[in-house]
Order: sequence, then structure tokens, then C-alpha cells
Amino acid sequence: MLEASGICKKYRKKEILKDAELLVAPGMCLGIVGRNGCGKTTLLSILAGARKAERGEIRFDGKDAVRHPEVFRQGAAYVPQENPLIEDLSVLDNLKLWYRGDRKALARDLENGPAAMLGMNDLLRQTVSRLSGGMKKRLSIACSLAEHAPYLILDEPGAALDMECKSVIRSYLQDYLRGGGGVLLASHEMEELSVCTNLAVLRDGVLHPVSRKLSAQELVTYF
Amino acid sequence: MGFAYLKLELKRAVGRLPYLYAGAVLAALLAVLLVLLGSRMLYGDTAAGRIRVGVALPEGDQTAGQAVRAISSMDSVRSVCDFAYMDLESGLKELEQGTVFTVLEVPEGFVQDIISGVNTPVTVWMPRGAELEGRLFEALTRAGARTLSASQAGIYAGGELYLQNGAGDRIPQLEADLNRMYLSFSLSRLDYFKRLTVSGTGNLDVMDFYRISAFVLLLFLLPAAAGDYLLPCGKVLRMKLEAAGLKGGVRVFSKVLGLSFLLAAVSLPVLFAAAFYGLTETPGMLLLCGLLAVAAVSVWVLFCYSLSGTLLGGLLFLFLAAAVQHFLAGGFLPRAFLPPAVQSLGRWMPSGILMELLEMGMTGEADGRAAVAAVFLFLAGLAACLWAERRRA
Repeated sequence: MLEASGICKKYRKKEILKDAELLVAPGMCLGIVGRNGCGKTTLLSILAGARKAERGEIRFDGKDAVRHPEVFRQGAAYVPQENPLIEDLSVLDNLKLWYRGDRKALARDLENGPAAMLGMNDLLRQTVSRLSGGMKKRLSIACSLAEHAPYLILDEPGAALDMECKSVIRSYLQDYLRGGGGVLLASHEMEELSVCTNLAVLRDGVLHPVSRKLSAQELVTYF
Repeated sequence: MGFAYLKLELKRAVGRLPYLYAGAVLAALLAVLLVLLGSRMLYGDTAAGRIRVGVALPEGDQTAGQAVRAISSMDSVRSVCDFAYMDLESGLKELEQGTVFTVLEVPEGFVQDIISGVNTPVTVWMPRGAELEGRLFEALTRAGARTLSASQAGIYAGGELYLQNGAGDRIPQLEADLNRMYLSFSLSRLDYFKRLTVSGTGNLDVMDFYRISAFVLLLFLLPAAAGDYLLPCGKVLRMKLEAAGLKGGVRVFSKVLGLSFLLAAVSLPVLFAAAFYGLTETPGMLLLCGLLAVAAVSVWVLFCYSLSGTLLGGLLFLFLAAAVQHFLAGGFLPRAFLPPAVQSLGRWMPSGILMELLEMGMTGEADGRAAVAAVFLFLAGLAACLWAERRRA
């Protein structure tokens, strides 16, 4: 279980997150929605260990991640909105980086792991800069899953992608959930949020659970 | 993960090699131009070429020979002219062939005629069309003539004094003595001085100085050809790498190593060539100094790009910083020719430190201070890069 409580974050004097808390269980997909600039990206990056909060607790399957940063690496696979890839290297080289040079593990995953499921086998020799946006996003996800972390944290995974790519990513997320993984997803798109088992609105620095059956218009009223 | 990242940075660096080699070719052309213009500016003795002057002396006239040698030994004459003594026939033949620029035909009794006031002129034979050299030579001969007329005035003044004091019968002896003394002192005056050659380029000759200067400047400017490699990694990638345990220090070190590899790949052939062509008697030391210079330059170039954060900003900052500090260090005009305040500032500039380091490598005169300064330069640059990286976080 991914547990977060009392998460606070300020940018200069502005309080972005105030005692935010959430719970993501295995097989659960929590969708986070909110206005632009409400702090979704900040919250996700804190939960992935990419940013530090002013205070709060974060635990992955009971292990304290704040005091032991390596727990973030083992527990969370973070896919930011912008693709964290080295553009002038090949797909294979980018994968090697996140697999920490472990060729055997990479070969296994290219055979029947996340990298294979995301279609990386056909692109290994291609330079990242020449890939489409959808392919780059798939590569980002494959790279983030190098350590087979049990919790996948995605920040607007479908942004600027075509419908086919979005569909592929949605299928993958459903497979991931069926495999027992937990997903934390920030999005503005209802189709993307349809994968989610739970929804929450981030407003005034706090997460407010809402029904996943709300329409877009109804959801906006909670912002 | 650090090792995997380092390998990938080196791979990225290798991909930039062709750009650096292309940049090196262009920069080498620029450097050659710089060297030529610089040496001309300092020691522009090639504006018209050295003037070889044939001198036809009257046979057996030792005094005339002494007088001509006195003129030829004057600094203003000696810096431009080479006097060659020959008979008139040979001189005119060489004049036709172009091996001498002019022939001076010294008449018989040349010195005596000066003393007696007859002043039989020296005949100057020159080829047609020698306009620039002709004007130069005319200026030189006028300078020589003024020297002689000054000594003549001195002798006349002595004679006038004797007349006023009623010793007019002793004037001939006075003139003979003064002429003899003047000629002997003017010929041997150099014996009263120690020879000490002072060069604006220190222990190096001008060509070697500018070779080193150009090499250092090239090291600073070449990385611009691989500009996108020098940019720090994007914010999101950096955040993910940090979260994965890859800290700023490892990223900076990897990039320094990559850039050092690139610069070494371009500069090592140059250093090997210098050793092969005998420009140094200590090739091993030159190579070591070269590698240290490469490392020191790498950190400062990376600092420029890290601080600016953009490709264009980094390029402009690098170019401006490299040019200014290279000038202050005496890379374009040796420090000896710069104002004192600039001289003392210049020895602390990266180019100044690296030029001294490479001078050490070239001459083999092991002054540990140059190497220590270069090591400190590298460490300071590394600290600056780490600071810039932390600032971006």
C-alpha cells in the first residue's frame, strides 16, 4: 500500500499542499483531478521522491520513504508529464540507463516484461529524438518500470498523444492493475480517468474524494 | 547507475567528435591568421624585408672601412640592413641580379674629406622601382649622415675654442685626435655593454608563444561545436535521476569526463605533432601538461553553459569570457606590452595559467608552480560547475 499523510509544500510564501493525504492499495487506480496550478504535479513528484515536501509521511508497503530515499526508487515508478529521456541516444541506451546496466534484466523485460508489452523491441536502435510523442511516452513508462516498482505514478500520461497511443497506454494500465500493481494518475481527460477505481479532487492543497461516476461538468463543480 | 550514466555520457561525447574535428579545422585557419598577424604586429620586420646593402670601399683605405662599419653598427641601421663588402663591379652585378638592394660606392679619402670639409659624397646605386625600400634607405642614410655631422660639429667646436684661446696652431692635431677617438669609441662602444636579450614573449620565441596561445584559445572555443552536449540535462530528467540516486556531482563529473575526452581527441594529435616536429625536447611532459590543460578547460567551458542554461547564451558567454580573459592573460599581445594593472590581473586568468603550463611542457623547465596553479584552476572550475548545478536544482 502507498500511504501519504500530512504532506505540506510551499513555493515561496504560497502554500501549495496542506496536509494532503491519500491511500493507494494494490489493484487500485487513484485518479487526481483539479484546476491548472492546483499542485497535482507537485504532489505526484513528492510521492515519487523527485521533490521534497516541507513535512509529511510517505510509506510504501509500510516502509518509510522520507527517511530512506531508496524506498522511493524501489516503490514508485514515476512517469512525469515531460519525458525524462536522453534525446540524442537510442531507445536501447535509455533503457540501459534505467536498468542500471543490468543487461539480463533488460533482456528479460524485452522478452515478456513491461518493455515488451509497450512495444520497445521494434524501436531499440532508433534515436529517441526521432520517435513520435506516443512512442516517447511508452519509452518513458518502460524506463520507469525498470525496477518493477509496485506503484506507478503518472502525470497526465495522455497529454498531446493521439487516440491510438492513449488507447495503448490505457490497456497497459489495466493490465498493470490486473497484475496487482497500484496506480496514481493525474489527468484532465475523462477517458483516461475511466481506468481509475477511485477519484479525488485536489483543491486548496487538500485531496477530496469524489465519486468516479461523476460527469465532467459535475466534476468541475468540485474544483 | 553512476557507471551506466558515465558510459552513456561518453557515448554522447563520441557522437560529437565529427563536429569538433570540423570545428578544429576552421579554428586552425583562424589561429594561423592570428599567429601571423600577431608576430607581424610585434616584430614587423617583414614589412619590406631586410635590406642587403653592398658596400664598395676604396682599396687599402682602412679609415673609410672603419667609418662605414661605425654606421652599419648603429641600432637603427642594423635592425633593417645587412652590409656586405665587395668591389664595385661585383656589387653592380649583384644589384642587377637583385641579391643586393643597393650599392654604396665610398670614394677615396672619404673620412679625410669629411674632416677637411670637402665632403665628397658617397654614390648610392639603386635599382629602378624600389620605392618603399628607397624611402626607407634614404631615411637610414640621413640618420647616419646626421650622426656624422654631429661629430663634425663637435670637431669644429673644438677648433673654434682653440682659436679663441690662441692655440690655433694646434687645431690639426686636435682634429686628428678627435676623429681617431670618435671612430674608436663608436666602433667599440658595444664592448662597454653586456648583451642581454629581452623578449616580450619570455623564454619562448615568438612563434612558439603564439602556437601555445592559439592552442589554449582553441581549447576554449572548440567545444562550442558540440554545444548541445554541453547543456545541463533538463529539469524533469534531472529530478528523476536525483530520485534514482544519481546526484549532481556524478552528473557533473561524467560531463567533465566526456568533454575532456572530446578535447583530448582533438588536441592529442596536435601535441604528438609538436613532439614529432621537434618543437619540444620533453614530449612526455608536454603531453601531461596538455591533458591537464584539457581537463581545466573542460570544467570552465561546462560552467559557462551551466550558468547560462541555454545553447545561445552558453555560446555567447563562452566566446566573450574566453576572448576577454585570453586578452588579459596576454594571449593576443604579450603581457609585457600591456598596462601594469592588466599584467598583474592577467597572470590569474585561466589562459595565463594554462599558457605557462604549456610553456613548462614545451621548454621542459619544470616550475611546479605552473602545474599547481593548473590543478587549482581545475578544482576551482569543478567547484563552480557543482555550484551551478546546485543552483539549477
